[in-house]
Amino acid sequence: MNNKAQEILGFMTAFAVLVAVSVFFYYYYAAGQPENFIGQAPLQLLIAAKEAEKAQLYVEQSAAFSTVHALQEVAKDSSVCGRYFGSSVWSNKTQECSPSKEELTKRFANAVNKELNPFLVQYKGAFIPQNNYELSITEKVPTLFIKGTAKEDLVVSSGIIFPNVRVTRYYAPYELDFQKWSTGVDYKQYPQADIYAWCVVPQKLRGFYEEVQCQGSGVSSTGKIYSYSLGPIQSIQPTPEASKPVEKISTKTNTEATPHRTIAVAEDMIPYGSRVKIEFVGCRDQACCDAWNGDYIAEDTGAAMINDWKRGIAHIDLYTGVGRKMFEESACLPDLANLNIISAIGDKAQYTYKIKPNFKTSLAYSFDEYKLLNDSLLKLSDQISKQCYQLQGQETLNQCINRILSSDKAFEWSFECGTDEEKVVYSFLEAMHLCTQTEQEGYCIYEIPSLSEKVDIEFSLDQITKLTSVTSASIRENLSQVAPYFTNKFTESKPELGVCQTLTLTFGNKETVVKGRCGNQDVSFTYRNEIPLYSKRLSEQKGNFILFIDPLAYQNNKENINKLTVQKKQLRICAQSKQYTFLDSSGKKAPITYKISFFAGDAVPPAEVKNIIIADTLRAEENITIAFDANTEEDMSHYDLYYAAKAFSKTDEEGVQKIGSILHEKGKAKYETTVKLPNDGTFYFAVTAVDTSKNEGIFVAKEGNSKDDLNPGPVQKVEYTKPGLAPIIDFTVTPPVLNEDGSPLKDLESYKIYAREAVGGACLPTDIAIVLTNPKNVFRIKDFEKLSAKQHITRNINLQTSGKQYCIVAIADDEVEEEAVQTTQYSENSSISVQT
Amino acid sequence: MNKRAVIEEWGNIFIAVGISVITLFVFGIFVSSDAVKKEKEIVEKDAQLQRENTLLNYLRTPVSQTDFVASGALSNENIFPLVKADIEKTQNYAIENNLRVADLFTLMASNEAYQRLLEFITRNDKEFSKHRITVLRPEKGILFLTAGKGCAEVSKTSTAYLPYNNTVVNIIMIACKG
Repeated sequence: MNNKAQEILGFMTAFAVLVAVSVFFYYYYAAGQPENFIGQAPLQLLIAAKEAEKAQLYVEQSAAFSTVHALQEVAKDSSVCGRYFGSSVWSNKTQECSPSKEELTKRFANAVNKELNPFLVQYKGAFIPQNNYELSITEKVPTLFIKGTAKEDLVVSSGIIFPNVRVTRYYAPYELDFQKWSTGVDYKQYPQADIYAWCVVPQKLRGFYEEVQCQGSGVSSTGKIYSYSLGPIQSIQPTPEASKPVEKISTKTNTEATPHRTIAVAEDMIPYGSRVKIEFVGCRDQACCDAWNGDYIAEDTGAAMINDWKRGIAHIDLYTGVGRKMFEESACLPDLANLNIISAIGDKAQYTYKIKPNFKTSLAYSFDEYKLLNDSLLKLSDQISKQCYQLQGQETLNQCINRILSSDKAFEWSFECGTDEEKVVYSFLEAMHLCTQTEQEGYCIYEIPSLSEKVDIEFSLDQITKLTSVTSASIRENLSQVAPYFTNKFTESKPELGVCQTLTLTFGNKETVVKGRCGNQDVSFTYRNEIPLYSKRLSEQKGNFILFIDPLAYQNNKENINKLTVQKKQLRICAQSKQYTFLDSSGKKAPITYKISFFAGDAVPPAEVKNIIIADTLRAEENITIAFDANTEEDMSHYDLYYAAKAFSKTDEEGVQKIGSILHEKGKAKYETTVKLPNDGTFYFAVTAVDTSKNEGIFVAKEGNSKDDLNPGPVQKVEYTKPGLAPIIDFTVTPPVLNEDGSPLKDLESYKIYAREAVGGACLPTDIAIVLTNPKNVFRIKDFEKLSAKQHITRNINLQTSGKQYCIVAIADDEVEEEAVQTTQYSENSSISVQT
Repeated sequence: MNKRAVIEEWGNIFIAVGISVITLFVFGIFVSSDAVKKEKEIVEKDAQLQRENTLLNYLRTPVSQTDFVASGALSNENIFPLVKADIEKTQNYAIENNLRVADLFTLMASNEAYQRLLEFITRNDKEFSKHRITVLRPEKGILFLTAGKGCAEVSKTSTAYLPYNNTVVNIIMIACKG
């Protein structure tokens, strides 16, 4: 073998050894690599897809429950005419308000979205957008199909994993866990105060104030929440008096801090809003770790987390709840955990998976039930109206209504439904409202129901509006007036007012305690079985308001004060479906319950008023007398009187005015009244009968004429001057201001001047009658300005013959000229003797 | 080339081969340790995927198709007759209304019968009973549905959420090792 051949052989051998070594390594190492696994990125995406599926399952479950809740909510509030003390108004005195199918479908769709949102916002595994669904509701009797099409995608992102993160815990301190509000310690004297602020103060030296400054928020013994003083609201202060409460235990992102959900982070480490899976490392108490392992939301922050992250230390703070006990119960947790950002925000996201979280669900229900309900209601309302408001026998109103309700076979009817709190709140507020509607002063009685648990009502406008959902401004106004008033004294059967800053009613079993701070004293009344509500009359415009009476003052005075009778015409009832039942929140089958308010009062107006006689019987100006026969209905309240310048057929026509009202008195057969008119002349009059339900009877307007029955009184004074040429004089009359009966004169029209030669050269008062019956000359003074009628009127008159003695008499006249002058039209001042 | 030169040449070749072999060996160890780490991560992620799948399957299973209900095992349970009657009624309602296991979680909010049925279903299922399933309920505390039979050592968790009254219930499923 030559050298060349040996060299080639050497290279070939070396190459063969290298190949052999490579093959060996391949089989020894690489062959051990997993062949059946896909790569990390697809796996991560598949896991994200599973997270999305879990979110989808949550949406489906939430939708199923939200639709049932929504149906029940619509049943409680289905009216287009508002609500009446917790019930939907289906009819009132003036209109029918039963909801249409289109309206119900629209309301149902709104209610589903509203019910769904609270579920969606609570989901921790991913961010599910709210108000995200276009709902399509179709009905194939007897099933409702609900399809929710999502407008926005549900995004699941997988992000960075932080191993061995430092975990601390924080809580909301409770005042009663501390001996003092503040210990007065200054945190600045401690090392690292610039990094950890108030948290550097040793635990035993902290009071409630110092602990709130460290932890962020705290709860006082009265349940008020205070936060550390950062920003515009200086909430917690070294004294309770100077501190101002806030609404909630707020996080940095303005959410409410919640155990098992809220963690505080450095935003640079984990962006706010990110969902984070926490798994504790090195657990000594596995059950404790199991309880706290899970998903959290990065929604709060703190100086320690921010400063640690700046120094490269990953640190999170876990919110444990309110009170030291909650904090100590979580002391079993280790101080290290692995963090996996499962739903990352911004650049922390590595893998993103999107789905449209649509849902489809169905309910065994048809809105046709509302039609059925309306039919039953119309029938029942008519029967109650006709049978229950003019009872003759032993049956009470409630018994009568109950009897009629139980005759209906389509639904299960009851007077009240809902929780004890709803029942007592609505019935009490309604009782007060009805008592203020009596338009009389006196007291009404509210019977305290039997309750198993205590119910508190705090009286303020906001609270009443919240409790009642009253939409009518007038009802709300009436109720708001009840809040601040009480009385413990009566003077001459009238209560003296006391004003309270607050008033709280605690309803128990057949007992109610009213407590409040009124003026400078604490008031506490205890009522048993019934509460007397005093309806104080202010005026026709302002109406009535309610006073709470001291039970003792009530007992001492009840014989002297007027007891008012209240009749409920707007009924509140509950109808339970016999056809449709759903699982309620307690997992039990429960029928759909409709809360309805309907008008079942007496809708029958009284008969027409008979034998109306309209006459000008009184010798007076601008008046008319109306007489009529009394109506015989049992529920008569009063008669209303109207007039107009022209004939009318409705009382609300233009130009028709109400003259007044006459109260109906039992046993009285005839009524007669004189009414004042704006002027004399021909008018049209109507009398209507009104019953206690304010139903007004029909009428036919009748013509009546008010005559001018009075002459002007005597002129005040007469004078004359001689301008020069006899027998012409300037005659001046001072006008009368009164009519002959002493009433004010308003219609002075003219003067008649009677002249006659004086008998025997004199003009005595006894001569006036002779002058008037046999005058030589009569002059008329008219066409003077009526406005200046009160001034002297001077006219130039010619007595025709010079050198004679005349007796002149002035008589004032109105529009209606009497033929003969009455003695009441002149006096001694009406005449004067004139020498021409 | 003389014989001595040839021997030197061969010596150089063998030294080069030796250095190459050592280099490859070191490289191989480096590559393999990284591969082992990646394999571990992939295995863990795969296991996580399986856990998520198991949890989802568990929640989506119709009550009627669970091992406990399908086999009619309730009749063999030694419990107070009135309680049994209550659970049976609940079970029948769940079957009639095509309820899923997820529905039972939501409905157990304040009805004991749904909770008991859920406990029976979970503890008697071939697959689910191998896991430790814990439920975190707001205000009502922790509920241990299964302790995981023969599950001395536990591995990672999987969590799902379901509506519960007006809040959310956390369902934590912990897979057992081995």
